[in-house]
Amino acid sequence: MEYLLILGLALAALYAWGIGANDMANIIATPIGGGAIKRKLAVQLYVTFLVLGALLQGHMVMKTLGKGVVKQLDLVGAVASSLAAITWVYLASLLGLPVSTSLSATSGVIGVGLAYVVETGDWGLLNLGVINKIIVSWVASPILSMITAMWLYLLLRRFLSTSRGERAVRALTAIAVAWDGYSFGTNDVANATGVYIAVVGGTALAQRVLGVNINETLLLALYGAVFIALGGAVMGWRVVNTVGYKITRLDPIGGLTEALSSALIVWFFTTIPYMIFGYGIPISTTYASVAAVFGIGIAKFRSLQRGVNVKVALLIVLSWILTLPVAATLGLLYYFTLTYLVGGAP
Amino acid sequence: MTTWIWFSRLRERETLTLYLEHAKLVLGVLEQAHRALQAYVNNDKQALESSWSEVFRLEREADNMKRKILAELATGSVHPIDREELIRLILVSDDVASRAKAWVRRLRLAVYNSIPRSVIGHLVKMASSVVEAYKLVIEAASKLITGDKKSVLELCNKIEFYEEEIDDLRISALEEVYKYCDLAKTSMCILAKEIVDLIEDAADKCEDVADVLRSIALLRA
Repeated sequence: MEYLLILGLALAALYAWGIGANDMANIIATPIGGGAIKRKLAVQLYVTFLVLGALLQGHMVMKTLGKGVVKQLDLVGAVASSLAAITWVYLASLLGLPVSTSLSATSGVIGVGLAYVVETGDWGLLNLGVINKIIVSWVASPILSMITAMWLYLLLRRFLSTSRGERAVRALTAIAVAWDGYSFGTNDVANATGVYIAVVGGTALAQRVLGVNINETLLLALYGAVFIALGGAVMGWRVVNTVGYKITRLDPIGGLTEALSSALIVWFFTTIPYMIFGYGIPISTTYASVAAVFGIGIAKFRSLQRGVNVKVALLIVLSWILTLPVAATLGLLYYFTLTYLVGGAP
Repeated sequence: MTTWIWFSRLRERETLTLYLEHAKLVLGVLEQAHRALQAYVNNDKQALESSWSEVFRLEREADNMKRKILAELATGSVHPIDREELIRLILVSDDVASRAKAWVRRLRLAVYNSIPRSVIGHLVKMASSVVEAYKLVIEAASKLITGDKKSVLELCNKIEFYEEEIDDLRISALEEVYKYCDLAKTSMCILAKEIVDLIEDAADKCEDVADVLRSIALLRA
């Protein structure tokens, strides 16, 4: 089964790379485009705090994907869910749908959980309470992000729209980018590697591969964070330049607001649910970011119609409604195919 | 595809759909301007005046649509990736309509039967080619909305051929104009030459529109 673990970790690296390439823009594009922070500093802050977030709080959402949605994910299930998420994200890209990597990863795990239920007839293997909270958070997080951004923008504009405020905006933007990178690390690293924590836990993988004794969850968090950072550094620039300079049109205060709102919401959904019921929630950092920009639009133009493109909002909702059944079905199908090929869980 | 880029592409499609409405109005202007030339050939003053009214009305509608599209591109916090290209597309298309309006305006100044059929015949042919070229512009813009880049590039090449054909027609038309100028009143000679140049300029602008459509298609690669 070792080859399956190697395959799984390779898939996790690939997924992390893709997350980095696409999602680095969510963190640094609008502050850079708004002219509130230099590119080099933004990247340095992003990478440093991404790794920190993954190491310090990454375990909160990793636990949800590895041991929360289903009671205990085995190796075949973990690989099946990775394959499901990658396949769906790839298919959606071909179809031109804006899907979330977080939603895809979680839906893949739900699919594997359903496969366990089909296999054993035991609904207890699927943690419906956690799934319900995740789904509610998928709806609540963009709405909260939009509302937060709306009020924060009005507040910041009131206090920082002075000549002296310009320096404060720059300093605050650096802090916001660092926090946003940190929050991203806490939440998104789980999308790639979270499903493997139950698999590599207790295997002394670090001892065997690296010759050092490190907690496996920490090792997986670092592994995911490194590939997310690499994906961003190698392939993320094109997206950052497109989003920052060509797509979004935010002033420095808008860029700051977007970063702060998105950071707050992602951090909130990682930390607070973990403190309350023991599981961090995997939410879409992209949707939080897009919703924050909508909120800024509403505050800036004082109009819901000009701030929010209803068609866009509906299509995003549709794409995530589609993600759940499709990625879950893929997870289920991959699980049975892999079980057939490798002869069941170890 | 990232959500941002998807969002931006959606806005681009919306703008291109509005542009199509603008382009149809411009085509209407061109068709009426072409009809005005035919009316001149037929010595039908009433038809010429009716075409002029239509040209005036459609050009004004196109202007309003242009303003609507530019306002649309200025709203919201997220805009299409190729926003600058879209603005150029609309402004250059508007130039086509203004050239057509200008040639009909000149035509109304020309005394009936003063410009000989040998000259006007060439003008009608040139205008007809401009109309055909602009029909291809509309087809190319429709293909751009559906994402059929290959067809956009092929149609843009065809628009270029039309422009080259109109260039050749212009030389033939000028030959006739210069012959006419040896005999005609100076004012009529200048008018005839101006109309030739304006039709040729409209064809050039069609080619410019094709260039913008081509660059949007290529930027999407």
